[in-house]
Amino acid sequence: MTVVERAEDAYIILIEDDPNSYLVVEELVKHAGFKHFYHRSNGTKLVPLLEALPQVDLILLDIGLPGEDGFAVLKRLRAHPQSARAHIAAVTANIMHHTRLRAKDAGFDSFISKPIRPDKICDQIRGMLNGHAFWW
Amino acid sequence: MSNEPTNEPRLEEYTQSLREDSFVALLRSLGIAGMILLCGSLISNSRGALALPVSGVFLATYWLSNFIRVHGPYRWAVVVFLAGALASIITTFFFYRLPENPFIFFTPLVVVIAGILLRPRVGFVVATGTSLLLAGAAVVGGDQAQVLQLPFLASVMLGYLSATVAMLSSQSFFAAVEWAIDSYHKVERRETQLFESEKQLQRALHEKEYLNSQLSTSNKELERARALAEYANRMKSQFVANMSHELRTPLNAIIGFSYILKQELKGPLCADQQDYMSRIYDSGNYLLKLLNDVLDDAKLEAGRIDLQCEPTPLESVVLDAQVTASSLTLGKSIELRQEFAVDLPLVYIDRMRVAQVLLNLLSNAVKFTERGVITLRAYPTAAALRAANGDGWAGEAYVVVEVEDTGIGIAKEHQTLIFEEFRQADESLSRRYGGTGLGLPISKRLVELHGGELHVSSMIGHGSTFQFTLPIATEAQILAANDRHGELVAYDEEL
Repeated sequence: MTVVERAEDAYIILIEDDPNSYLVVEELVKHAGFKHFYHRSNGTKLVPLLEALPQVDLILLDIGLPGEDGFAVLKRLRAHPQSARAHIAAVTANIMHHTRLRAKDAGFDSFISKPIRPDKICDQIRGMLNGHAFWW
Repeated sequence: MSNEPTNEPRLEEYTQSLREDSFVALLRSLGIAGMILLCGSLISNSRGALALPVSGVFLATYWLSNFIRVHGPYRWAVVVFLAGALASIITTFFFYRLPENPFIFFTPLVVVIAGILLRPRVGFVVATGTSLLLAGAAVVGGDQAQVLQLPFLASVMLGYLSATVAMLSSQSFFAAVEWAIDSYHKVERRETQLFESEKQLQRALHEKEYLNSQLSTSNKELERARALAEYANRMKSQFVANMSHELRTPLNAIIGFSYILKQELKGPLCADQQDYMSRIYDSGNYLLKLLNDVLDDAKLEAGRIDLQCEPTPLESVVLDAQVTASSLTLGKSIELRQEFAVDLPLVYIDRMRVAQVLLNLLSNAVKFTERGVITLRAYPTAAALRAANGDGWAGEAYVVVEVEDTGIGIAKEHQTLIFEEFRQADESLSRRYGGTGLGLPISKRLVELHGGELHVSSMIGHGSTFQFTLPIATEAQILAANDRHGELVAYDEEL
């Protein structure tokens, strides 16, 4: 994964079906100065977005999506050249131990539990963009 | 012996019935002999002189004896029979004198019969009586001189000899009968015993069958109960997981939006608005913490936390926890120090769980320390060092992890209290510092699940040191892990 020069220039995609969660993250991220923040409610229209962007640095992927779940979307993201080397974090309210392990086995780079910590999320995003993994 | 009292009344009965049978046979023979003699005397006139009276005595004896046998006591019937036999011999004296009377030699027969039909010793009485009777008859007949002569003496001697033979033979006969009866009874007793024990066996078998069926029934019930309990437990876990998930989603909005407003990202707030927004935010966070801890506690309580242990370098775990802890120290003048022994051995742990423990201890340290130093220390025990050098038992080989702070400290009397669920050292602290009071109990149990121990030492005002041990991975565990997924260990070591 390419470490971006300035975190604020990074291309970030949030895939999240719950509008509350999406609104909170968007509000915080935009306020923190991130310029390229995109949102999708599910995995269906993801590929055109990937291909429209010059690069993808970080993907925040909800596991509990309706229809195609996060694990399936992850598989497709890893298969796509544009997102194969991006940092992909699982974002989920299902914090059971086995979900965490399953996420690790599936190939997620980080695990952000919901509810997201509004005071931490921007630091976490910066950390992930710098190559840190978050599992707690 | 039949004349001695025996404790087997059936033996007496049996010999008596034998005697009666032989008596009846003799009686019939006497009757038939009487009839033949009567017929013979009627056919031939010349010899009829003797045969007629003898046959008369025979028939009379037969009739009388049989009558008594049917209606009266056996003993008298036999006596009459014997008397009749003797009477028939005496009758012959009217035709033959003693010297030439051949019938006196029939007396031993009477003696023998008496011995058999009554008692063995009665033979001697009858022999004496008969001899005296014959002698008397001879004297009456005018032959008194003949009594001392050979034929009579011979017949007397023969009589006693017969009595002796009769006594001996009937004794041995009855001994044989007794033996036979005895054996028969023994066999019978054995048979009864056998029958009894067979019945007992049958009963025991039935009982066993019943118990077996009972056992299988209760086994089935047990199995059903177990399945039900398992199902209930699964349902409970499922419920807890769902509940957790369902509660988390709205918390996201509560915590997130209150934070946004509180930070005045959407415009300035007046003091009250600011205060209330902070209260919403803090309450949301408290609820979240409670939810996390209750979930863990419920799983620990049900023994449902399965550790996924791997040989792990401790440094990789510390990294996970420290990133989070360092963000907690923002706004406080706290220095985070790390003192790790060189060449720490791999520990056999579930890295997620140990990170959880470490994070808990670190965030506690940060929470209760306003300024100063928090030191994270890790070193192997002396036993571990010895084991690494190849001598000593590796069972006590642990890595000790310490989290030392320079915070407010914990009073001696509170140092056990803090490991109890929903208890904090001081109620006022709870209000001031927040927290659910579940973190330490859960950490302690997680460490114990790994086979280690968690202790605290503290002095009030000088800070606290939390210390826990983690088992060092054995050669076998490392080899097994390498075999299972070599790439995962490689990945861990890369970190």
